[in-house]
Amino acid sequence: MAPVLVIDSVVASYGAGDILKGVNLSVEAGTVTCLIGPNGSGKSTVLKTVSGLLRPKRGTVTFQDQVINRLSPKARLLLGIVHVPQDRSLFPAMSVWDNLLMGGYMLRDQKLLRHRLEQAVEAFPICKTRAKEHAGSLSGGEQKQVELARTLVLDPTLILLDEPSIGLDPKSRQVVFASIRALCESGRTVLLVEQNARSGLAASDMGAVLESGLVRLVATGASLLQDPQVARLYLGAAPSPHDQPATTSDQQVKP
Amino acid sequence: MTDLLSVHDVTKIFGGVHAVDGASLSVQEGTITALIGPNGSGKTTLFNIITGYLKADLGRVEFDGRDVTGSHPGRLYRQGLSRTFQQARIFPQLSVQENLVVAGGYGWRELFTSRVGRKDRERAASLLEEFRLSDVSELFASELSYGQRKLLEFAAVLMSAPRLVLLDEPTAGVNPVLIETMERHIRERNAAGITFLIVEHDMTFAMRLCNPVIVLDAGRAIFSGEPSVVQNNALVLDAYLGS
Repeated sequence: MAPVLVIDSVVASYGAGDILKGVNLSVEAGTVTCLIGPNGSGKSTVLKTVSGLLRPKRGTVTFQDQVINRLSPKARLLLGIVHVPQDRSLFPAMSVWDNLLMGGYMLRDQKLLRHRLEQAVEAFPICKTRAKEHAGSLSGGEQKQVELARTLVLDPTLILLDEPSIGLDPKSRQVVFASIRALCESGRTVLLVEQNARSGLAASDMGAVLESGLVRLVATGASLLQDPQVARLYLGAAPSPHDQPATTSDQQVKP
Repeated sequence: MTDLLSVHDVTKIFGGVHAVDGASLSVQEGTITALIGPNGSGKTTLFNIITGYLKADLGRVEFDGRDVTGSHPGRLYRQGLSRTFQQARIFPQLSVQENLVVAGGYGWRELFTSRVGRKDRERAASLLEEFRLSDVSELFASELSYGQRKLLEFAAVLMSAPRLVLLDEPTAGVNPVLIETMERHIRERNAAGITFLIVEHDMTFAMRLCNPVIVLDAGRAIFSGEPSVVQNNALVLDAYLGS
């Protein structure tokens, strides 16, 4: 399969000191790729150079055989690249439905917009069931689902997700990772950054390890999960069912 | 053991929504207590009420035997109650190193006259090293990534000497390897007498470190007990943990 995105020798910074020091990465169409690595290694910065929030100093970003380095974020959106940032990005005082509509802000064709909204609602029914509520009143997991739904209104080819599971409770996390798989199975390509590396890699086809602004390792998600050195350096201890804490008496708290 | 913190029937309503709905819980001195619950169950609102950032509509908060309901956050901090935030709150226009100096209880004068004790300088340097922030110690804190800010805020808490620390999702956005470093520090500080109340969604971390675990759902504490019991409680599985 041909790569939909190729990042070639990208160097980028926010001022003094390069954050990315020559990043190389290619992402195949219809796959989920997960970027992992230490804090401050440049993971979020990689996503920004793809969506256009940051222009690389050197190197090229190629999307569907077109070099997009000099394109504005808006032009990249129109090409089908959407970016869901780390922080919650819904407008909290607006309704869920209005937030969804904001995803189609650039669409002029009303018929097409209606069709896309229907598709988004089909994938994320919460947009209809909670349509009139303020987005800010939704829980973190619910908000993340609306953010993912909002990306679908532009019918993106490539979805960039920055720590989609951050701040989510275990149940919501399962829903979000299942949603990411579903996005991929509907033919879209996903590049995500996750500190929750075990869950991120488990939901991904490919994984890449970024350290100090360079991609150190690329392999399938499954093989990175099984690599003892990767575990030691980046994944931490495996969850153990045998961790037995000390005991105290249990009590029902009065309701 | 005595209760260092107790919350009695606290309620907070935002525009008709009961974010906290008659919550009662207590934290015993010397424990590392977890507060878990689904998104939207009121954990952070409760933290904000306990630490004086929000005023409760109903109910009472006691810290160290004193009624502190509605106290100013600064006053509570001086009484020994410290906290971190989900979105780390650091001093963006101070350097990473200066953030730690301020957290150590020094004032502005010491900041500018270098009258910071050798012990505190060494402690700050060692924390920066352990949390892999040494290379960025001279940068403005505003230049740090999300995860690095969380680490800096956590390190700042370790610089102070509170009696009770409330941590709001300390591991969110933090590399798994450094989560183990965080865990070690919490255990060490706990052994030195500091009590912790931790909101956390990383169940491996929470269940390994904390005892007891309090479960909040729809603004109320629905269960409290040791981790192994919480993990197998049908109510908790349904409300929070899922399959």
